[in-house]
Amino acid sequence: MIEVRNLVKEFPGRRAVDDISFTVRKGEILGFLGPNGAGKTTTMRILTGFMPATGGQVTVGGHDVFDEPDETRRRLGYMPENVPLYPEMRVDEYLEFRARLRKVPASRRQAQIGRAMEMCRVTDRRRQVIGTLSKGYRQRVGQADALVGQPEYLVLDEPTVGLDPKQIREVRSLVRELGRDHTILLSTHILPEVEMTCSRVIIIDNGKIVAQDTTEALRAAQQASTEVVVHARLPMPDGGASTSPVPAAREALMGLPGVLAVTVEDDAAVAKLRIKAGGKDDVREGIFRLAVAKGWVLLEMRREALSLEDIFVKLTESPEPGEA
Amino acid sequence: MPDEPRSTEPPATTAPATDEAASPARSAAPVPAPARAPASAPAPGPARVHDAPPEAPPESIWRSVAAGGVGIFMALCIGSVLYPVLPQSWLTIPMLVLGGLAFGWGALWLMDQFDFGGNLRALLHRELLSYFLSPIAYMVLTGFMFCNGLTFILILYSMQGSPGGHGAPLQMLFGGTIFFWFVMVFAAPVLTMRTLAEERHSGTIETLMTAPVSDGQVVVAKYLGALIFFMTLWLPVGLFVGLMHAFAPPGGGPQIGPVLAGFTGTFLVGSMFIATGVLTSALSRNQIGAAIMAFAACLGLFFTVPIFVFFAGPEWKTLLAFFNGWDHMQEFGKGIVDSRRVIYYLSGTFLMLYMATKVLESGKWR
Repeated sequence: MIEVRNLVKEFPGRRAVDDISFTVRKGEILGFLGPNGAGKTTTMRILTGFMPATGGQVTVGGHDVFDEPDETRRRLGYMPENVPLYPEMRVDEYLEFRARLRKVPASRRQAQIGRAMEMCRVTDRRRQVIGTLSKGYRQRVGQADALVGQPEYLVLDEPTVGLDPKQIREVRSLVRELGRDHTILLSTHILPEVEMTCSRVIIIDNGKIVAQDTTEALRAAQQASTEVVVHARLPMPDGGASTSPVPAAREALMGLPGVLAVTVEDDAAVAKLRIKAGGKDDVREGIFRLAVAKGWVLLEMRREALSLEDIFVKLTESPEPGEA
Repeated sequence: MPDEPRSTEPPATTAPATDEAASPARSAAPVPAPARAPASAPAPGPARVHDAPPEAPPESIWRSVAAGGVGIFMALCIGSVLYPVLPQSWLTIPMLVLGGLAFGWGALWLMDQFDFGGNLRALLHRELLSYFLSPIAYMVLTGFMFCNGLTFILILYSMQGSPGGHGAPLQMLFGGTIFFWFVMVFAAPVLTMRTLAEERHSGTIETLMTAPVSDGQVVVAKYLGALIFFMTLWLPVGLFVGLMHAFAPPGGGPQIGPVLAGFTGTFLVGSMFIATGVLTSALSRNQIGAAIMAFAACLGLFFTVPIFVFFAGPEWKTLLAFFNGWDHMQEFGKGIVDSRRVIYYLSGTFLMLYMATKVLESGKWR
């Protein structure tokens, strides 16, 4: 378990991380989501012991990262953004070096390196000089590097940045696979990535946590304010043909419990209404009953589910546009 | 969340997919990749994961050859220096060769057997690897040998017929000429400039410092790596001693003491220069900047003092004399290993390394 309590990091004139607290539970894949410059990399650097925090505490498996760096570093596999590697070394030389640094006993070193290379599919390039590898392969070497030493925790900073779509898909499936026996903290500014790989997500903006929950719950919470689009053919009122039935229907819908606003998008023969609703109950049921009672012919009714992307944009939208 | 492929892939990454995508696609196929190194896999086929260790042959042969060669070379260089005390027999050379082989292979075997030194050894191994794998190392090595050889020849010519025996030219070689200092002041910055500055520049410092290593270990490994390479530069000078013996009348060759003292002095001065270089490399993220700083620092330490001595009053003269590298090396060349000098250079080295460690530590807080 990685525990972050009231973490603060100040750079001269700037508060990069502002009092954030969260836990990465054993066995989960936690997505760390935020726009560029939100403080993701800074947080990860503190977690891995690369940087000390200005305030707060971080423990990895019960050990403080600042007081017991050796204990925590051995348990953590870290892949920094842009995957820095030594260009003059060969892939297996590099991994061997890393394994030694991580104090893997000589008897298990080769087997572990082989396993890591196999998992990240770099075995075919094991004798190649790293400087001559393509970006995709370098990324894989970085992943293998994080796996050497069999750390319980993996911290991956933007693992898919700069890769092509096929490679991105491969990285995601690798992360899911690793998630079976590792606890993973993964940062990204790409939303689908979190939706696809992570079980839980923390959204961070301007150094603050703006939301944290399971991917599903976060979406469900946001759906509490959902929108329903209704297309219906409304029967003409009995009296004259001159008055439109739409305003009356709008009034009726407004009367339903949970409905916050109704906007008329089209008042032609087929009326198109957008209903904004809040609360826990599904408004669609009420709409259906109303339609039956009033004799509307429902042609279409769909709920517009907010994607994580909408949530993200909503949460990280700064009220003042001038703020960076 | 279902895993169906979404159409909303990140827009930035959808565009450039042409040649980058080709290589992983190829490797994912069951066909063996064309770039497979022929040496690494004696039995091509599906790569086996858990029985990796037995896969050794060709690489380890090269390792053994290299270790043996280095051992023989070292033995010959050291043998040249030790000429007067070695038994004068035709067996000497073969014994040196065998001893060198034994030394090289023994060292290799020992290092493989015990995980000697743990982290420090791993770091040092990487340092040496990157020194000896870079072309710059061989440029420096060649340039250094050329300079030293030229200096030696010049000394020999200028001293022809002068008294002082066959040991005198070697005495001159160690610190007796401006060339010695010239080479020292250039070599140390060039060897050390990349150590920490490059780690910081390329970002590898992040993976390095998040491994279970301490700042001190990293600094010491960088220093030792540079120092070992530096002393490798000086090793061939041992052969000059052999040459002097070869052309000296029987019993008139250079004495062993002053030569060893000269090497000791070179080692001590080099050690301090290199520690200074490591410090400046820790201060900078730009290699050239680090080199210039180191150059200025070494120049300042060892050239301004003799100049100041000209202008200083008598009481300052006595004080400055303690820091006069030029005089120190003259003494070492004569065979005088004064413990004050040894302590001066070693404490200077420790001070520089300590400061480098602190600088590396402080870099985290910024």
